[in-house]
Amino acid sequence: MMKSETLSAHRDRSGDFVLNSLYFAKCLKEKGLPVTLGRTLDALRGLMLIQLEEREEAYSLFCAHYVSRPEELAVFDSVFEEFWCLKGLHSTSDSKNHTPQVGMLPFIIPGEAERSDNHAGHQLQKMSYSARETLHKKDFSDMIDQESEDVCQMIMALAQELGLRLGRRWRTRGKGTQVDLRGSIRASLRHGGELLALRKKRRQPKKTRFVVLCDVSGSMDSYSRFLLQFMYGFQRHVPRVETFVFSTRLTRITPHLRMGQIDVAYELISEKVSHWSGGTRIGRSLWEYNKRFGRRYSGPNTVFILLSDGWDQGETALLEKEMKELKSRIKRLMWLNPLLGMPDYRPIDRGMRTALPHVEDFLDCHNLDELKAFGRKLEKV
Amino acid sequence: MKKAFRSIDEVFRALKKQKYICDRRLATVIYLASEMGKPLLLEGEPGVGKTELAKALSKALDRRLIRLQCYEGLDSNTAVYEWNYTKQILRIKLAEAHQEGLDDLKNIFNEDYLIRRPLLEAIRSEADDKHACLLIDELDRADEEFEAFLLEVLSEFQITIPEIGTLKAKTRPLVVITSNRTRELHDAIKRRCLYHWIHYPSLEKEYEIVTTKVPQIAEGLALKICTLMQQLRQMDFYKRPGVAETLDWVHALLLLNRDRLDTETLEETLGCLFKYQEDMERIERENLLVSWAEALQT
Repeated sequence: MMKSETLSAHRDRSGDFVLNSLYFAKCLKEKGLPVTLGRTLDALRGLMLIQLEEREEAYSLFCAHYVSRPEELAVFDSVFEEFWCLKGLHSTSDSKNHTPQVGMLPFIIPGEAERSDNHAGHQLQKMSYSARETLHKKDFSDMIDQESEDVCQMIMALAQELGLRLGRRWRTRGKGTQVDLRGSIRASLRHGGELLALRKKRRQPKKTRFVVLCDVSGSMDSYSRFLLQFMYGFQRHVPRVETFVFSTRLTRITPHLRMGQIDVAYELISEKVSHWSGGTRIGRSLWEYNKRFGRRYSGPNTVFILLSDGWDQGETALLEKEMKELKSRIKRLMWLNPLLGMPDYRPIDRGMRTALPHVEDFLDCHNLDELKAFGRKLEKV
Repeated sequence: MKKAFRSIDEVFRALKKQKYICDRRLATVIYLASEMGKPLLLEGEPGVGKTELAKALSKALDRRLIRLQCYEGLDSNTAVYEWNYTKQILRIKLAEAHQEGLDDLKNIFNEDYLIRRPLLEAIRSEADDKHACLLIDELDRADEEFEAFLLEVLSEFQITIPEIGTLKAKTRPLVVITSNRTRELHDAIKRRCLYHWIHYPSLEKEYEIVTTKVPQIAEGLALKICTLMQQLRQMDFYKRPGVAETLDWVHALLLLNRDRLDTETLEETLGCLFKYQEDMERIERENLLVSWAEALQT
């Protein structure tokens, strides 16, 4: 009812404009912006309040409704430009650029957004128990295409579960140190207003933050697809996570991972990260982290997770220094190394040997089971 | 209710009168927010004038500015309301002295025993016949849980107090929320707001801001200052200077009576623009002051 009301109210005044606005919303949605019916209706209502022929006003109206973070501004700008300025009237059949372009990323991760949850469940059920069991133990680097899609979905499920359990962690409250006046008065009413016992309260403990640094250098290629999927899920379901990727340089990808559709997220990341599959300079990357982001993201409640095989081409002295600096600012340092799964692997290469004394948890992450074990460990931190 | 603004142009003019220079896009969003009764969510780099806008708006509309500064650990007791415990205890003692029964005590939970904090104040402000402008500053500093409190306030403009019931605003206050993006706000909050990202101003706009806010400054100097600021923001510093820093700097130059931007002046007043040791070190290391001063001479 609401909808027809708004629509007819506009039809007198602006004719095709309303219809075009709807097409415009559809285009934005295809590009991954959070377009909802509610937002669209509000935007249509707003059309009454502006001068339609004023470009800036129309821009403002739509932007205020459909954009909610700066990363989306560029997408919005380009769609707006294309739709209202070049096209004039718009036809619906235009959906050329629909397939996501993956530039630097050497893989396409299955469209998480396209599958509904039911579908995921269906997919999992399709696999036999033993097949799933094998997948759990199989090294990520040996996966074939079909398997890896299934595993990506299982990783997402794992991350979701982890998010749930980490969320529940702070429920317990012991004896407090401060008097809870409100509670005390409330309790006293039961005894006719006599304050028999004081209720106590205490501050909630500071919540744990997570910083994830993932190695995307050439030597990690066969794992990065899955680890990135894990980071996407981790960031999505666990609060207070910051994510970075590094090889020779460091790039913060937190805002990109937040995009609703995973394709859009990866498109953005591939545009941003120019050092994909490069060499590894862990020391330099840590230096960059400490210098540029440390002040903001490191703290006594930060758990730092490093995903890397430890093949370092940089200076050992720098790595040593930066590890020390990092360690002094955070609560716990966890290192996940996919090579630990190999029976004959020993952490004896230069980088790993330098870093290891500063690392509290040195864990494997070469298959699903190990990722799960990591999750359990994380709960206890 | 009296309309806040009649047109987008009026927003423009009213803010300019308060010495706040905004562009057409921002003026449109403000107009929409006041007409549609939606909160305005402003994000942008520090020092681009997010908080300043709320102050200017309240002055332009002649409304009382109610400000809620967010911080970690902010809870509903300090943001929404609290019971006046002292008054309640006194009431209980009084009841004791007069041998009153339990039933008479029930009324210690009514509005007389309530201490209004900013959010409740904003909702109940129409009682004073003067509408309010509510500024929720740096919401990203508050804990995620606090955002949940805000949901009811921002969408329905009402507050539910278990002991009393639901208190609803008769007229919606104009709400401005700012965030510095130290963390992402929850989607539920964003959905209820009109979003606007404030960019660093263009050269023309910054020049206008400087000359409007500090009319004493010589025009040539103001232009030089703004040109330099535009250049600085292209560079990769830990914390790039915003408009607030520009204005601080202009004031400092006026106080020191400097009308030329040479290396010495730059060095003396560098503290107005850069606040981090890393940035200072870089400027020294790369000898940037000299090259800036030279660029400004030509």
